[in-house]
Amino acid sequence: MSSHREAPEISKDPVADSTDVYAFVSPDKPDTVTLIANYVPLQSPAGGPNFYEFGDDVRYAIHIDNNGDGESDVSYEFRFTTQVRNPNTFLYNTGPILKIDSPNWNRRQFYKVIRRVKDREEVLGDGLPCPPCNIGPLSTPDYDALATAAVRNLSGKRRVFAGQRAEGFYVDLGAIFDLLDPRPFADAHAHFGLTKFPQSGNGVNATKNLNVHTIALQVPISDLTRDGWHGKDVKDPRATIGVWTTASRQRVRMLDSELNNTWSTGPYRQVSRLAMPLFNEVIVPMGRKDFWNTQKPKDDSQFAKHVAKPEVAQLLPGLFPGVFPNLDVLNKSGKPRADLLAILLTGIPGGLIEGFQNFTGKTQADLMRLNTAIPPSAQPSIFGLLGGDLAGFPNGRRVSDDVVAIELRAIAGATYALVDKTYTPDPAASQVDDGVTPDHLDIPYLNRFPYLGTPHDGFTNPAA
Amino acid sequence: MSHQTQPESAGLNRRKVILTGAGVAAAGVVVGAGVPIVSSRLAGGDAEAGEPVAAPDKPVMVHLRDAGAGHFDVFVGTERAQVTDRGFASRLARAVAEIEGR
Repeated sequence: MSSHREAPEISKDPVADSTDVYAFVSPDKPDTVTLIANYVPLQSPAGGPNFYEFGDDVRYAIHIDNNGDGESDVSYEFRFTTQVRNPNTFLYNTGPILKIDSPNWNRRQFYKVIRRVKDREEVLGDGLPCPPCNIGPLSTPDYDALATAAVRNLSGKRRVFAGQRAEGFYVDLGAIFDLLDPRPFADAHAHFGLTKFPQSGNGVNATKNLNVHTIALQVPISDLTRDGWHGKDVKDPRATIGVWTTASRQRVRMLDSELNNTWSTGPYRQVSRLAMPLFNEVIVPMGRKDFWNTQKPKDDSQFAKHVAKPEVAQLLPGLFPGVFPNLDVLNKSGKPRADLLAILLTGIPGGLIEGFQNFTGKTQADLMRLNTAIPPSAQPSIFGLLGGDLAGFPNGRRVSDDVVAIELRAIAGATYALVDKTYTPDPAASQVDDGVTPDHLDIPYLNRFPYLGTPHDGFTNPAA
Repeated sequence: MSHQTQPESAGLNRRKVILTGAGVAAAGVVVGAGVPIVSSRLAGGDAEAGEPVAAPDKPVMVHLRDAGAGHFDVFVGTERAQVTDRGFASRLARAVAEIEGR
């Protein structure tokens, strides 16, 4: 998936497992940027009685690099604390939760937001409430009111939300992980001679009816950019920021049988990070995925060789015989994929796409690069830059962007002509996708902060 | 060093190891806030008992990183300190050998 369970170790630690990062100029408040980091993947809505929550023992952060060195210049840290009203019941709630401070809600979570700029630290908010999970019509009869009450204003014209949301990332995992066999193109797949699926079909959204936990922050653009820059010159190097999220745990954890509890000690160590979707998932090989999660973006040149020669690009001509002949030639030429190196590790320099750049310099770093001078699109395309929409992925990422199709097409060679005018992409490179779009989502996105939709409730999901 | 051989404590008396480790840390290093790694002032030599100090009020974990060199990591709060104490490492090694019946 984007980054759900993308590495062996973090797949066993869901509360610290980052799943998606979004960064975009807010369409309804274009003087702000919305930053979203999702955690706790693949939540089945009925998963009680211990419903989903953030980890009290995890430090979550959203980082911004605004000078191109791959290091954090501004960061927002989130620390969570769980409070249990009555430990003598097994129930998450003992009656309807009508208000966010309802006495019927037994297990609540609160959090603190800290902003760091170099050595300066500012607490933006403390004791901020998360909403409950969406249990069902008896427990959470007016869920939207609870979620709205959990959107909090912070100092400096900032807003924050942390809690459960409907999964907004859509993807046909079943087909992709079944040996890269997207259903719309199944009739062109070699099928290893098994001819199991000779007919093409429609995509199936594997995240349908699932939830996720969201940390969302909306801040003035000047909060994030170098020198507080906020302008309209797309070419200004200060316009572009790089965003990523991390989760960290203390290095030592003791399961103490004598004290009958668990405690942790020592410095916090990064166990998960995420910027561009699918980077660790399909670019980094399995033997390096856990290591990648511990590294900083500034050191990502060590992974550049996997970007320059991505495994999926090598596989496509064999899996789809005769469909990607030009990609096959490009693969066999041994030329590094300069297009992917730019998109994923340095940003796209000016001069390649009319009116666009999000280049951050020579330092190779996996960052979600957003040119903040590009205003929100009046008519967004889910295909972002590939769809002629400069405000979409990979210029940041909006909740609706079809990052699977965009990255699949880029890897298939659709973007290589940007760096080599003599290259002609295969016709299929601009068409291949998994056949899933936002139309496959049962719950729509919101047109306001925090943009991801109301979580699915446990009573009606799965449906009878 | 005395030790237990019952499975409950995995051979070593955990509390004693932890407290002894904390003593080493207190004698050998300054665990300062905001300083993620502090090298032992006794690096290259063995730690000494020094002046008595109050027992730490939070969990302390000691990791024998390199028994031959006597290098320990001491974890407390959100800090890690590095301590070198060949004598303590040697005593631990003997205890471990005894536990394992070597």
